[in-house]
Amino acid sequence: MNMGTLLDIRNLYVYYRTTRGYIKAVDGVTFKLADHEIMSIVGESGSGKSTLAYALMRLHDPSQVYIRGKVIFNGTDLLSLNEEEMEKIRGSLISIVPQDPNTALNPVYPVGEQIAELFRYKQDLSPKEAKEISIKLMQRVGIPDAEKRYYDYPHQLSGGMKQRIAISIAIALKPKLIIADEPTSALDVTVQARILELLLEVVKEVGSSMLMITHDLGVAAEVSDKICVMYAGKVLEIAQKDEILRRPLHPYTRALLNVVPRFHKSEKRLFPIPGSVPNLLSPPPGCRFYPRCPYRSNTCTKKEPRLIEVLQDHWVACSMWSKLEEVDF
Amino acid sequence: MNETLRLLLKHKGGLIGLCIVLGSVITALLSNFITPYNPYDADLNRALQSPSIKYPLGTDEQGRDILSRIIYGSRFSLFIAFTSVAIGALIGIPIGLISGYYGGWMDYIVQRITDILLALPGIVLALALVAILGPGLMNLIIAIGIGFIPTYIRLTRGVTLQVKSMEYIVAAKMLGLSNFRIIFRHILPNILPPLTVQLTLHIGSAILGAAGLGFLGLGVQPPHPEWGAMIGTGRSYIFRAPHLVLFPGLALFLVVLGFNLLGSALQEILDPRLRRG
Repeated sequence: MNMGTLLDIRNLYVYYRTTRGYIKAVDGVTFKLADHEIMSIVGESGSGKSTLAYALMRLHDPSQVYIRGKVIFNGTDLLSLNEEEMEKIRGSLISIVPQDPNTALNPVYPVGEQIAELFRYKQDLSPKEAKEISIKLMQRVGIPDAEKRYYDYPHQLSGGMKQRIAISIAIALKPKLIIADEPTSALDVTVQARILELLLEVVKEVGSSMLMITHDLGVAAEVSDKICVMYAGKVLEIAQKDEILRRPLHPYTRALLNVVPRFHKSEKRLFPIPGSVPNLLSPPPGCRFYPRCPYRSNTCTKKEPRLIEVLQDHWVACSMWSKLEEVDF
Repeated sequence: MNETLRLLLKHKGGLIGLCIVLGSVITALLSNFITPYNPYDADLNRALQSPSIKYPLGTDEQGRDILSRIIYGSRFSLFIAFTSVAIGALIGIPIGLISGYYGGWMDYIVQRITDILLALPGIVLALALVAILGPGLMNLIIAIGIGFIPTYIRLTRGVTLQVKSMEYIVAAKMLGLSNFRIIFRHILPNILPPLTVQLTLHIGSAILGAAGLGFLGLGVQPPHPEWGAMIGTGRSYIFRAPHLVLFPGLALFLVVLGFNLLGSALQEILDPRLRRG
């Protein structure tokens, strides 16, 4: 896979200003995403993965959030653009599949019009053309009777249908990057797999890259080329999916994999991770996973481990990684 | 909207209010054709007559038919009410939307000015404005309309803040829609229900306000048959001929009641938390 870099995030810091100090939601994140690549960002709630997505879209209110770093998308630094330039990128070049389709569609407009609005407003198509394309798109994402459903209001559709509409809105203008923010966690378990499959299909059709934000390693394993593990605002490990699943080199990744039930290792019980995500107002010194880490040593509190490429294309932020490599997973 | 209408027709108070409102609007529109006499036609020979078959609501101090004057007067009341509420809403709602959507220092300044305006009772503000602008129909409308602006700003800002944080508005932003479009195409339709209620209730208070100023001689000037002015001139005869005050007062009461009934019915219907089974 020798492809261009679509997204290059360098040392991104996103701090929320509060009266008690800064909440370090994203704290020095660096990674690259190639064209057509699908990367999952995996982490517990509070790990900063959604904040990261918001920062990419520049949706934070600058008076409440401190942002530093570089987000180079398609050759331009998104953080240096003004609001007007950013508006042109949103929806056209980067789009989001929302977490909860039940609240992400405007209740007072028919769903078809909400798709068509993009074509009319961002591409200046005539109402008729916009409607035709929208109906085709609705058929593509598997909405039966699309001509009629075009006039349905969001409350008349099921959650799965609404997410199909949301997906069609996200892919409508064939963006280069699609950010999927836990696109299935608000859905019924029975439709999750189908929605995920559909999303993957259309993303490949459109030829976009995708950032899949999820707390579900199962979802990540299913859809992604690469997996990025985040914890307390930091990236702990990035590698190709097979590599990271076969040979996780960070204790946290290992712990995460241990809480996913797997069928082929039926004798193994699940091991919950003790403790909880640290307070991001005053994170622990050194490695942030230290308080919960089974492999910790004295050096871990003294120096914060940097993300380094320990093996070919396998990045880990842990000073104990070589020990883990010896321990069989 | 059909659902709203259906619920409104099932709502007792709402139905009564709707009938009164529609009745008064139709009366006002047709007033040129349905008055039994010319409302301006004075004849001192028949002054201050009590209600009779010929003059169902009696005659006033200049011998003009009171029924005709009340019917004709509904035009003034309703016209003043609708236009002044329109002025208040057309200025107040956009300011409230923008103030609530953008927030920041501009919002702060707008809200402090609104605080000051809200601290003044509407009638006092209107009195002061009429004193500055002088009496007359247009000035009256402006004076009453300006009094409504702060209420619309405050109300619109409040509901805008609520809707602004909804995910579908964030989603619209993520799709790269302009702020202008988000404000007027995505937020505005979602806050219409509470605004509709306020509009309806304001019509009632505008009618009252106009009548109050008319009563004080600062509104519509005699000989025009505005209800407040009619009560104002009739009050000198309140012991000899109480119908001069009674009937315009009743008309005023009925129409304001109608708008208020309709308004509170709409409030119950449009706010599901208040909806009764």
